[in-house]
Amino acid sequence: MLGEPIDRELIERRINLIAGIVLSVCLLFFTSFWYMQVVRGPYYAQLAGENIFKEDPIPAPRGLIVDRNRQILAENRLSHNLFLTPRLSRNLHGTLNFLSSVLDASPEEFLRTIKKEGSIQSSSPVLIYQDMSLRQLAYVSARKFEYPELDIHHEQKRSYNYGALFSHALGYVGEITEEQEKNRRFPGAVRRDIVGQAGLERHYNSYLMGKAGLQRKVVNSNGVVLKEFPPTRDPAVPGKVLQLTLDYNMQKATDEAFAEGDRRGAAVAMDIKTGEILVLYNKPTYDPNDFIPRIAPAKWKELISDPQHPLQNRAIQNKFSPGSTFKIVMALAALQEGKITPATTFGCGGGQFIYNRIFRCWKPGGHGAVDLHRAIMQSCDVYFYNVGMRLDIDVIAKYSRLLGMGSLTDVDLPNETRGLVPDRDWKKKATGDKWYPGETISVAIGQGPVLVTALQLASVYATVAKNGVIVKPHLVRAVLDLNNTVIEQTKVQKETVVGISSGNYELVKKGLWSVVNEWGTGGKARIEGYDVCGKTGTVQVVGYDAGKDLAKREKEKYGDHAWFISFAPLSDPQVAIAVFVEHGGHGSDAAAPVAKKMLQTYFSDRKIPPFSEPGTRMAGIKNNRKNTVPEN
Amino acid sequence: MPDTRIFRQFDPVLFFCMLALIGTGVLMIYSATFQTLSAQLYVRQLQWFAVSLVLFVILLNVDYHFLADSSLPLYLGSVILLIAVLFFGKRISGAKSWFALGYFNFQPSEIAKIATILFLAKYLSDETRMFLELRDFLMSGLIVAIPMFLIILQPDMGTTLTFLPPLILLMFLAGMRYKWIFMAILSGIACLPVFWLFLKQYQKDRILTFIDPSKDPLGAGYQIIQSKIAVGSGRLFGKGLLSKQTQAYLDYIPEKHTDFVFSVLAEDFGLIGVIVTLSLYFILMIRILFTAKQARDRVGVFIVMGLFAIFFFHFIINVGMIVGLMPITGLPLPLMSYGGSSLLSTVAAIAIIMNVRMRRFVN
Repeated sequence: MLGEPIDRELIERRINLIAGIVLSVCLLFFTSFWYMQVVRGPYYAQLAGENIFKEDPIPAPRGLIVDRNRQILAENRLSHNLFLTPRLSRNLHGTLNFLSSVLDASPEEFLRTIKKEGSIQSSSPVLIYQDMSLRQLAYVSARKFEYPELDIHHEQKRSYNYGALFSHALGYVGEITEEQEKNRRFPGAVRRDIVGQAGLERHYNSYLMGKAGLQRKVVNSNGVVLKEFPPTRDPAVPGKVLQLTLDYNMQKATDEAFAEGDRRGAAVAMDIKTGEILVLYNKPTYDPNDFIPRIAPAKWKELISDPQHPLQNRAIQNKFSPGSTFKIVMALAALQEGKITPATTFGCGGGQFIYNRIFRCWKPGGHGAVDLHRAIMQSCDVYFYNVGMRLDIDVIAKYSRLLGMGSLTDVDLPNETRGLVPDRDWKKKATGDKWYPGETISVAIGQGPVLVTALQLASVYATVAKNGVIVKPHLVRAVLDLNNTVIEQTKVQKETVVGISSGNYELVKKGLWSVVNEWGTGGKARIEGYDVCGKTGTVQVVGYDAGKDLAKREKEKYGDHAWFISFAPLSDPQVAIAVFVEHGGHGSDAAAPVAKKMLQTYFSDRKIPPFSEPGTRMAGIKNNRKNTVPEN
Repeated sequence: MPDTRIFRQFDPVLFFCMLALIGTGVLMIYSATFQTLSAQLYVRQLQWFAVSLVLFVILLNVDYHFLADSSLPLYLGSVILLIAVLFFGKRISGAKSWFALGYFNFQPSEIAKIATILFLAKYLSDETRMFLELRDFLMSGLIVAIPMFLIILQPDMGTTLTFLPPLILLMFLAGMRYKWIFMAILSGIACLPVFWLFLKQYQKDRILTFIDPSKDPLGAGYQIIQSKIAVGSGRLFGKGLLSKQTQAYLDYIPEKHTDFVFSVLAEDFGLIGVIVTLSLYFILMIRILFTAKQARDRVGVFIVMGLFAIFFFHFIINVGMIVGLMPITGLPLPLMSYGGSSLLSTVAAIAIIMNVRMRRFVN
């Protein structure tokens, strides 16, 4: 039977049972609420806080970079970025078609961007186009009201005012990479932050980047901002201004000089007293603006596959043989070791048999009888072969190092190279072989394994000019705040070479003066009244005998490299300059005129008048030589 | 002339609980919608309350025996309305369940619920019957199945399901053996997979996200998660009425003035407010059960318990959803949720229940 007998008692019993169920349900609900609101209350309260308060970063404007005269080299410009919130879209394909008719991307590319960031149902805005042109901005803004999913944000973007001119010094910025984020390469930087990726932008990133602020907002579930709090608690801290030591006018003059005669290579100018780098120039180069906001893949491929390596900062990253510019190191070593005196004379007949091999002078006819002064002035190779025979390679290495070769100058740029000062130990480690005396003869004229950077050579000559004071080269003069008040001033770091007497420096300097001002190899750098001193250098790219013709025929590839290293004026040296012209031929023709133009700009900008009577001062030095150095 | 003696049996506790819950509801609707485009909804709710009080007074004065006696035409009339709404109804959020009558919309399924319960109660209360026969069981099932079938055509799954609890409860009170009740329930569960086939995708999603809300936190799981955050963050004392830092004010809770009105209460008044409100519901339901026990005759018991079944079912489903024990069904919380039809039919049901109590000694 389906049912019990129906009576009042049965019904009341069963209703009581239902009352029990009602009570149990109410108690169950009470327990549930107690669990949610009391036990888990703090957890949910925290979730609610995150729900309601949203914190958006306020980007900090990146600090400006200015030259020594506060001319702006790198600043920020307004960039217009387009965001799309897929969920708000009524007809996504229609919108994307409209956008692709205005912007340079296909609907498929837009769709790919959206899907990469989320889904086409996503309710958070996706950055789909960066850096619209003003024309594109006008088009999109005019029709924005038809497309509620579109949003235009204006953002600060880095801009390099002189394009390629300062590229290797300034470097460029870019979004932090995943690897950099993981390695904490830039403390405090988080995903999407813009950080320095090369050059000073990278080295001084912590000063330039500033600190993003936080904008607290009350937001409802649709993302509508109901209230914005003033960002007083966490305001954005703008980056500091970097005042460089670079001199815009000199850099520009250098560029012009390289443009004449289609030169390429590197140039450095340095203030001898302070170590401030006035010019840091490389050619070929690149435009750092190409990297903002990010470099096009095709452009990047072009830059890294270019055989001339435009991305390399040749002045500090590439090492070359110093060639004849190394002869002053030989002279100082020999003088100091007492192996020669100013009067020591060697005969040059255009070449000499040493260790059963002929070593040629660059001048086939020979220089005749040559003393130290003439040897420097005319860069006589045979003279220095003889000096090389009197010096041990380890002694040459010792003096090279004393003057700063073979170690980093510690300039404030990434990826500097230290060059190479060869000695017996090095040879043993590098090849397992012993050092042969013949190799010393090559080193004596700056060939062989010895390698330097342009900045190192400028520094060596500056040290000689100051009679043995090494000043650390640097590119940043001061850090300024937004009101142009100096916050941090770079301190001049000096160090004195121990073990070379100043008389020997004077002898070498006198030779360097005559290179430019008498009948020397550097005549093309002569400026009347400014007592320019300097030394040419020519570096063979292919072997002397076999390569002569090759070098002439294919100068671009096998032509000699040209050096000219100089400082001026003689009596009170202020500026040192190193010019390197790749495959430029002779230092006298290819490199010296560039240095001359740089020096002219230096003196005319500073309104330094020519010295009225150069002769008298030179006479003094000549007398000095006669008085202090005994004739041999 | 209304019989004044009957008002001596008027249940003031039940009446007070009803008024208090409606009042709380209006307050929560105001709290949920103030400073929004729907800020006037609490006024509409008050207007509906006024209308329902009129209906309340009228129904108190109509003897429930009269309602039971006229239940067949009422039942047939509501079936006709349910058929008509399929042809002439207005589609609101996917279901063709409304008649648009100018100022207000009206849902014939609300009338059908009461009419069906009256008819079922009348049928089962035949005093000559000593035992529940299989024939009675099948007949009862048919009485309920017809409106259910018509409503599922609209389609309105939630309302369809509300017809089952009165059937089960009345079978139970009509003396059905436990064995058979369990078998009926088990066979119902066995039918669930078939039922699943008839569900729409969004309904399947709701059930799936009930099982795991974090699966789709911005889609179907969003409502559950946000409601839980609202309730939980109310903690012991709540954030206070009209606080501007609530999930409700900030629009995080969907349907906050209708299905999720209890979350608004829990957020504003905390566990204290929840205890008070749950107590009001508890007292109200216990008073209804007392009424059933004290009813003069079998038809009175069945009418009260049928109406109670619907009330209790809504309460379990809605509050269960708020605390995350039930999936989202879209059933309103009786007396508190915004909505004229729901308020009107609940007040009418309570009026009929009080009617039964008032006439317990009357000949």
